[in-house]
Amino acid sequence: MNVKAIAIGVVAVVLIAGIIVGIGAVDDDSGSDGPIVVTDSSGNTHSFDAPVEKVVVFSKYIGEAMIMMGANDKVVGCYSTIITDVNYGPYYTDAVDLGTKTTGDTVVSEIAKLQPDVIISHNTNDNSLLKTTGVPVLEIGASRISEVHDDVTILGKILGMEDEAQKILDWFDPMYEALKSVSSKSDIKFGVESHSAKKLTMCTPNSTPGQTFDVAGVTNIYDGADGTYVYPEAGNVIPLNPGIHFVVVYKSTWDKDVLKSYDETLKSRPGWDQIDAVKNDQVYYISNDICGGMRSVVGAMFALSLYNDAYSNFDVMETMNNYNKIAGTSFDTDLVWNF
Amino acid sequence: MIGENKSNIAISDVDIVRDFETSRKRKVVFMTILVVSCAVASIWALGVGGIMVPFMDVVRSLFHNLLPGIVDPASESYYPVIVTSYRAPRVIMGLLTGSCLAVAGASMQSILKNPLADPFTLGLSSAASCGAGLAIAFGPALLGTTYYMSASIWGQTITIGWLFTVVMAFGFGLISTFILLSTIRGKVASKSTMILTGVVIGYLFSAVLSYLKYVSDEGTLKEITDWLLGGMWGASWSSVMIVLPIAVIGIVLLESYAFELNTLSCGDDVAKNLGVDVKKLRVKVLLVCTMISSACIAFTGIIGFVGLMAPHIVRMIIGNDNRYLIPISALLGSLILVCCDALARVIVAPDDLPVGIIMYVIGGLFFFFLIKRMRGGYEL
Repeated sequence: MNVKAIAIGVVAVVLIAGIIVGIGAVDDDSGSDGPIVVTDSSGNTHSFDAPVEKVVVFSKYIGEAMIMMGANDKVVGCYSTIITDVNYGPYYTDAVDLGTKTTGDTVVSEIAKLQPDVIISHNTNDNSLLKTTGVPVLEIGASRISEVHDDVTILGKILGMEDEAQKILDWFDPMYEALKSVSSKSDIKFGVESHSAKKLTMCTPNSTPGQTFDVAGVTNIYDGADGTYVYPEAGNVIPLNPGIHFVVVYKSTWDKDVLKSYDETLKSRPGWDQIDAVKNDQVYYISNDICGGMRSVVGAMFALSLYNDAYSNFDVMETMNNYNKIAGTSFDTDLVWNF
Repeated sequence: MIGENKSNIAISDVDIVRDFETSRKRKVVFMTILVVSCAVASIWALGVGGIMVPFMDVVRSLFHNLLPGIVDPASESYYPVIVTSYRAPRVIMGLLTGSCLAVAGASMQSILKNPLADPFTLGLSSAASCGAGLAIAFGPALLGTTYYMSASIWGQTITIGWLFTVVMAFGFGLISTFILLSTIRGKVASKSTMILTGVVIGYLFSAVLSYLKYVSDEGTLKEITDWLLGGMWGASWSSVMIVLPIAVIGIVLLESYAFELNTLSCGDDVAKNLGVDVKKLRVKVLLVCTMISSACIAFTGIIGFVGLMAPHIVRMIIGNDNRYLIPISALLGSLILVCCDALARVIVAPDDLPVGIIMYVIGGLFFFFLIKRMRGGYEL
């Protein structure tokens, strides 16, 4: 037997073994021939005999993912905030309203009536009470951009809708990869404010919006601060002098007149006329919808486009239109304002 | 024998006069020390915060515009804004709130003869909290987008939502007192009836607030909690302009009742025999206390303890004479609150902590220390 014949034999064996292992892995993942096994973000492993049909959701972001995968009809109960949301509400008319907390006394009895196959909740929620129901509690990330890929993948598996999940990832992943390739921090400093009718609230890179912009290489004026939010005196922002100032706003207040009024309040803060962002008209109002969850890549790419010329052509509306095409949704596309 | 008695009486008179003078001198000295301390603390507090402003720059920030030829400008362009636009109204609000709550506490303790009485004993705190909670929870639904709009008051732009919360807190504070007064109307306004009724009112408003907190989402709950913990961060020149006249008139009025309050300390019957209309006095003092406390906490949120602590410390040092107790409590309350607010700005800088947290920790420990020191105790 010559060397060439041996080499061909080895390659053939490797190929055949590879194909067998490969087929085996696909079968395992798809769950069509065996139990669906997933490990959630808390490290807990869950096994399902078949794709889940009845789901309880304690996460707005997963509520959106279910819509995008066409699985919203599998949601039998969810947070009030999902049902009352302008975008999500029409998709959840039949879901039972489970309130705003995972710890309410009535939650357990309501879940017992619904008999779901799985409960999906943020890993930052207090899920101890939910776990007493005997229903598997799948703990996923709290809307953070870094967790989206894994969460959507897991969701696709347990729902038996991996193709639908992949469509979302095909839209999400290229932008996320581009963001991850950003190796340096922006020269321009960013202030990231969370819209509040009362106390000035600034997002640190540890908050969900802060992390989104951090992935985009944004230098946050509160880089290094402990905690997720900082509640400073408004005067403290003046010497920090952000070149760009974001105000993250929430759906219920996403009204142009409201924002214009808030803009007047912001610009009338004593001394804020000394801040570069205000002087150079670089104050942007950004919907929370693109600061967390699956659409966080849009917010991050927008931030990147403001300081990195390579991405200056990034278009929020166009990207959002592409997103809507995934599942035929009509979510708002006009999500960034500058007055 | 007779001569000896006369001599004893004469010595006794001299002693009394000497004691009185010593006591009066001690009160005046204590008051002077507090006035100076308040002034020093206020100037110190102007420089303290997430951005530390050096003392000389505080002085320059305050006086450069007034005396440009004599006082140099501050070393940083933003110092004057921080000192005059953010910290100065905050410090003044701290002075006003501290004095109002302390004076109200002193007066309430006197009319109710209860050492645990303070502006919040009769349900004011719970009612104001309930009003603020309702505004925060239902304001957006009730006012729609207007809740998030802003308005200009004396050149200061403030959001309608914030203004609505202030009005609701103030209104509910007053409502609690009117409920109390209407409940005890026609009956003898005894101190025990008033306290009991006030406690019941407090529980009722607390129940509503608890329900609001239970059904609120995370964001709303956070806002309610922020308000309940109290803070000076909402202070502005416009809020100072609103609270200042109410505080000054209220404190002057309470000081004018000081003599009658002293008479009341001998007991209701004695006070009546000396011509004091006890029921009317209680109602008047209660109304004034409610007015000044509500006006302050509507802007600052609940700031507990100062109304209890300041009058007690003052009583331990100068006694129960309301003529001195009221103004000195005002000074001490101001001093405590201004210092605690300054600490709240630096303790976890750049975060601005709710001053209520600092008040409870530092105030409580200091109060405990004083009680341990005054083993003999004292009477109201």
